[in-house]
Amino acid sequence: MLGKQVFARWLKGELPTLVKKGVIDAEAAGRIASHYEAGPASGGWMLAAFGALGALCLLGGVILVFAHNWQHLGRFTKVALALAPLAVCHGLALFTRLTERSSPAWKEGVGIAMNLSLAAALGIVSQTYNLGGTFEEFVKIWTLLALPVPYVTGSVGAFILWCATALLSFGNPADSRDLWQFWPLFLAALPFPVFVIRTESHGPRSSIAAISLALTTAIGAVLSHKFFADTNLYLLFLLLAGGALHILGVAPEVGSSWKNPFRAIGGLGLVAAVLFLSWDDAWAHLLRDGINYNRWGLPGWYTDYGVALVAATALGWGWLALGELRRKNLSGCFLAAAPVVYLIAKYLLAPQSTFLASLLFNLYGLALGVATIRSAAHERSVGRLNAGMGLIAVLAVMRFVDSDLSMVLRGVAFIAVGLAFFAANWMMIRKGRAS
Amino acid sequence: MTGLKKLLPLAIVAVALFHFAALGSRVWSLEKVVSNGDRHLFMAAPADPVDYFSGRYVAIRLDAATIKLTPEQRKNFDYQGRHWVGIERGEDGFSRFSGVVDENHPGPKVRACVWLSGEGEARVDPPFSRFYMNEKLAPMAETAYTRAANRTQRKAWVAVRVGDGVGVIEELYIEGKPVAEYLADESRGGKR
Repeated sequence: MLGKQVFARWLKGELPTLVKKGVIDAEAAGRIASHYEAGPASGGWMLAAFGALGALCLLGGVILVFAHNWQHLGRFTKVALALAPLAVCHGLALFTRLTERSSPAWKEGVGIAMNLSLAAALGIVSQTYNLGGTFEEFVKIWTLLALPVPYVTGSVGAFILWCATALLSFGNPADSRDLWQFWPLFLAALPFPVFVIRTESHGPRSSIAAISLALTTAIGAVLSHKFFADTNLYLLFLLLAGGALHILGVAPEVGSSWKNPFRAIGGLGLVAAVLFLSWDDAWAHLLRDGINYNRWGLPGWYTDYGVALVAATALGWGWLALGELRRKNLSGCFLAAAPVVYLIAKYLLAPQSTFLASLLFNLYGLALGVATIRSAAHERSVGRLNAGMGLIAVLAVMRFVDSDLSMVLRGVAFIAVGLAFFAANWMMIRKGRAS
Repeated sequence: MTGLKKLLPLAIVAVALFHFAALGSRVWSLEKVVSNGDRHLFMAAPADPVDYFSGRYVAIRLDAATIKLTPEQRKNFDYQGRHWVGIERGEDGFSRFSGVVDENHPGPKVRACVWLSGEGEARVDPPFSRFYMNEKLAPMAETAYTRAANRTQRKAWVAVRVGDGVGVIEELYIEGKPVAEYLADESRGGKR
């Protein structure tokens, strides 16, 4: 950031010389000067971080000064002091919007301070009135009140804080019967990061918003197990959610800076599921339909909620997959097709033999690994090559320890892996020679 | 997008009103209880050695937190939610929890978590179990509370204002004195 400012000043100083020597005309010099007139207004992450830190220190300092004489203050004074930082943050939010201050320092500073002021106000009111209650109840109320903060402040930091409290509340709820609130709240919070990602597609804020969004979606999907009485449905939900995330990450119209979290997190989840389903024991366990995992005493309609979640996720996945198929982006859809492979294995193969179902996923995993290696060779990406070969290696190790397979079958698996490695090496060597 | 930008200041004001309305209504309801609620005295039980106090509050355990459940209540017991628990004043001037009641119960009551304990019994986890103090005084208060609340002494109790299903601790008493006054007397070499 400092380097850019120095450069801007130097360049503006050079402009008269350049005009005099005829390198650029006066009009161009004027445009260049205007372009760098903005100076450091855009700010960088350092400004945003220090802005947020400054706000926190100021807030903390004010609270500590009053804390010294806290026990001598009356209830109304304590409550007024508890709400004062929040009022200041709202005032600052209005000020930044009215004066059109758009630097990250202002947005992040005000947003994070407002979110934390809410928590401080809730805590101080609890202390003032000697209220009991649990940490989980506190986080739940904080999450609900903090939902609009990213929208009014434009702060990605406030969004990250909200995601953290929402997941905390979802994973460790004050009352299990409130679990259903997570996904509607998530949908209500979703437009903000989507807006940041679309409007700031090449900036660091959009990358961080994308990572937060992808992680929250993934963790939320994993924590949704309480909505499913049947493991099969839960697995299908995870595969659909992972597939949708992965497809989002490979869609070509998406800006290059943000798609990777979706691709990486969705892909990792799918690979983990594929490895799990390549295990014969997993199928023997999954086939035990009718086991009720709803042991938390939740209302019966929670299972309907789970079915609705699967349906909604399937719709999203289908719409995204169709888009990629229309673009003929088959390689992008290959990993995301895991839900289809699962349904084939579950309903066509597993009733005949659990071995067939696990074999299908072994072959699918092998095909994924080979396809990844192939595309890595095409793009000359060492990282993807390692990922593909790593997947095949893990598959091979898992088959080795799978005690249900005979020595012959293990041997066949290792031979197949070995052939795949040879094939990968041969392809890379051929590619290298050709170039 | 330009239209949206124009609406943003209004949105900020709306969110500010939402925040202050939510917090303000909570404070208002608590103030009503503190000002106008029925005053009940609850005898304090010895502190849980595992959960002495956390941070700057003294964890209060109540002596009469065990209630009886009818067979019907036990059969239809809701393990997840909070229950309405009635409060009755005893002849000794101290109050205790009378049992699980319904929402339309006319007497004083609070919403609390209830846990099944023994045969036909349950334990109430009251919503008023923390007394916040200055962090310098809290350790001394903890020691005094522990000493006064033991089974032989029984000289610690809390005054709670109850109203609208809410209970708010007004004061912690040790040997008949508000805890801050008791500690001040102790530090001046007062009666032990």
